[in-house]
Amino acid sequence: MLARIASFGLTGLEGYPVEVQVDISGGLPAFETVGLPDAAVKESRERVRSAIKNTGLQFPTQRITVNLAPAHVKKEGPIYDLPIAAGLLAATGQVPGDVLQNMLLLGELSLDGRLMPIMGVLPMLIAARKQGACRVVLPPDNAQEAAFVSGLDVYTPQDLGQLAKWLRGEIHLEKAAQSDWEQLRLQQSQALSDLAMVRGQENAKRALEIAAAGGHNLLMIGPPGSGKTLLARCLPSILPDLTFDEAMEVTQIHSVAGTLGGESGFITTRPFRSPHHTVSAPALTGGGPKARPGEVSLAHNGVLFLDELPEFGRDGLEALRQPLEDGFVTVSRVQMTVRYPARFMLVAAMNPCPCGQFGSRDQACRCTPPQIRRYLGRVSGPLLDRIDLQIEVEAVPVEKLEDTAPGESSATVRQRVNRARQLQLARYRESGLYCNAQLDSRGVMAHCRVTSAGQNLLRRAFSQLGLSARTYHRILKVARTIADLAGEKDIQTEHLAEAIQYRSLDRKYW
Amino acid sequence: MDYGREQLCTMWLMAVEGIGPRLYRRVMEGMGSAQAVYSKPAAAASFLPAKAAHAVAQADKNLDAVPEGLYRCGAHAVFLEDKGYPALLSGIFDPPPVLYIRGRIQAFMQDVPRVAMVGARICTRYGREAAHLLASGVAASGVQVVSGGARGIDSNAHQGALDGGGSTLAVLGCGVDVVYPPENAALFEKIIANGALVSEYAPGIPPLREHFPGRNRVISGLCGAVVMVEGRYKSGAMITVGYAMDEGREVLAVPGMITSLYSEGPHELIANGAVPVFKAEDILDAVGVQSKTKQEPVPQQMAFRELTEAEKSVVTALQQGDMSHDELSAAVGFPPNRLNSLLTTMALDGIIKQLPGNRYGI
Repeated sequence: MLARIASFGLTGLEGYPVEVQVDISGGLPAFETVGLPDAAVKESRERVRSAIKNTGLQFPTQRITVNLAPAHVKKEGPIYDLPIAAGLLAATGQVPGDVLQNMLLLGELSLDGRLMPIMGVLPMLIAARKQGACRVVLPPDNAQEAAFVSGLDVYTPQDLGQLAKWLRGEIHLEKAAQSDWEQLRLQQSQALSDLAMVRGQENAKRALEIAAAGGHNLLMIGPPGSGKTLLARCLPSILPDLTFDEAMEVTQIHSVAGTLGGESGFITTRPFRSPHHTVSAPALTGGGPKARPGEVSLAHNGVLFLDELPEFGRDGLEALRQPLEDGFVTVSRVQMTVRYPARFMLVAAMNPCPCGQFGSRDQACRCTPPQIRRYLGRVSGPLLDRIDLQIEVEAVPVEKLEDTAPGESSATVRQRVNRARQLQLARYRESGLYCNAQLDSRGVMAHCRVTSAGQNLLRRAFSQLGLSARTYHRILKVARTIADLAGEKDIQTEHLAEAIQYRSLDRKYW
Repeated sequence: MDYGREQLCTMWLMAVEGIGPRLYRRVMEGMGSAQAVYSKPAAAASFLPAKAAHAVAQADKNLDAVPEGLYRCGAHAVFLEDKGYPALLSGIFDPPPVLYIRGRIQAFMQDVPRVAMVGARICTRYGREAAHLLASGVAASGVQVVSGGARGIDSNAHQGALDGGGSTLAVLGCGVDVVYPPENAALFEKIIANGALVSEYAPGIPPLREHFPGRNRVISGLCGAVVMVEGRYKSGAMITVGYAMDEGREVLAVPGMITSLYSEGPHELIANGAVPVFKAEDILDAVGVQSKTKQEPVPQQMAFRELTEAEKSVVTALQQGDMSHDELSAAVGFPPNRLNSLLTTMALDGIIKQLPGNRYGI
């Protein structure tokens, strides 16, 4: 007897259909799995055998051959436990084969027959839906991920026994509910850090707002304990709301990486990733034998925060340049080449000097100028070139923390950010860009015109403040965003003057 | 410039590792001349400690090495016996038998009043500004400023003297062809054009730690007065001051804030009777020079242009002292975007200064 069960596999974020074929024939009892299975797939037969036995079903003592077609693609993970078991039951006539025909099965089995959650469900289901699948059987814990793929009937039996009874028509299984996107988003966004929690630091908050409004990368320089990390954590809360499509992209990546967590299984807020500075280059950009997504992809549509920027390995920092430029990373490994999206806002923080007290009023800096130069030099020019906003963050004295009234809430700031983004979307509708940070030099020429008074100011700033020539376009882009925040059509001199304040690293005193 | 055989031998002997002014004098008293040491190094051994004697015996016999090094960087040697050798320096306990001068040799040989401005490499903005202000003040009245060419106070003193239209001497702890610290290359070029680099070390000698106390003795030796600008109690600048006191030179000190670690040294000196310096004239008095500049009390700051109301409030706030962005924002009550754009224009017009650590001052 032969049974065919539809299932799915993943390369990177791309799903492809897999057909699980189970054949039972006479001969010595044996269990063979073919079709390039990896170790986890091979171990399937032990889980399947125990799961079938322990749910009171019959495991055939005959020769069993399982083929995972297409046979030339390497299959990985325990996701084929469920289709193999179902195929066995169908091949032995314990469940009717025709019911299984238009059904997609994915899931891991435990030895007692329960269905265990698996990774990468969302991208597989999206691909499956595109190819016409409409009925899916999933482990209960993966139901939330599936709840946002419209047009799919999702069934989530608790264990193999329940599945068999349902297939035989003995019991009724409810379809898993579709989720309400808006409600879930409201729930999750309440958990974010709020700007109102940051006391003082008005300058840094303003810079954050500009960064969020124009999609600019941001570098914060300040002594230890000045609140750089807290400020960075607040950034997702003032970024424009994640659209449904963006949330889909994010959740797919996290689904593949197995970092979904939480009860909802669906990500509705912008991710905030803060890898430690000992992170390796492959962990940052993606890699490993299975080409897993790295931190830059996990931060897709969100914020990648690098604390202590100069402490990061040079390899890792240099590897950031491609994703910062292109919005995706290509990870090539022996077995596969995968392209992951990686469009994130980079927020970096660093001390002004090795001891951290340079420029502090209360404590003396004990670093020599060459030490400071070496420290700053660890961050390469090409990377700094991609960071539009560079600000200094001052230490806030403890007594001030208590005095100051709470500032604006994130919600208020986000409204202004959203308005500015809308202006940008309208302006760049034809060029396919979506924020000021993406402008190239030609775009700057076209969209960031400056009045002659503004030109004058820029010229003086360059000669007197020691700004470098490559700063020119950065200042214009930031000024464009400031003008957008103010709702102005043209860049005014005051916008330029403000933008010049956000180029700390270019100053002569470093 | 042609050197006599005795001079060549003196340069050769002084370039031998381990031979300083003291050992030089001891061996000269024993042997009579440097030529004798050159031709009979074995005989000189009895006047020297074993290590130095060994170094003399092993030394390369090439007499032209030092003159060639001098020629390559356009420097000259000045010997203790020479007529132009500064009288004050020849009077100290152990004057250098030979000094290498790179730059205008007249700046070194002429008999002018000299003042040493010393201080630590790590210093505050106040220290840098004070050094610059005082140096330009005394240089404008024809006093030569002597310092050590190092980072921090030294560099600012040299720069101040040059900006004041005077000449300046930088006494180095390395060969006159070695640019140390490297970022001072441009400053050294200007010093060469308007003064001179001075060193008792042969060309090519790197800046070694042990050279600096010796250099400090030359700095104080050249000058009638030494001004301590800024530095901790235990700093190289205080060594210079120590030499000056031993040699009976005038010691002056620039007062700072009593809370500043970096004014520890000057305050200690003032407590012990050093003359406090409040203006360049105080230094000129110490070396007996009449001020040639017209009395211009306190550099004028506010004469730039009419200030707007908003700018006035920023200036008023900053008159109480430097402020961080937050403090300033609280003091004047402007939101950060307005304040930032105001600060840029005010900085460009020179009304305020931007300081490290997101701080501002006038």
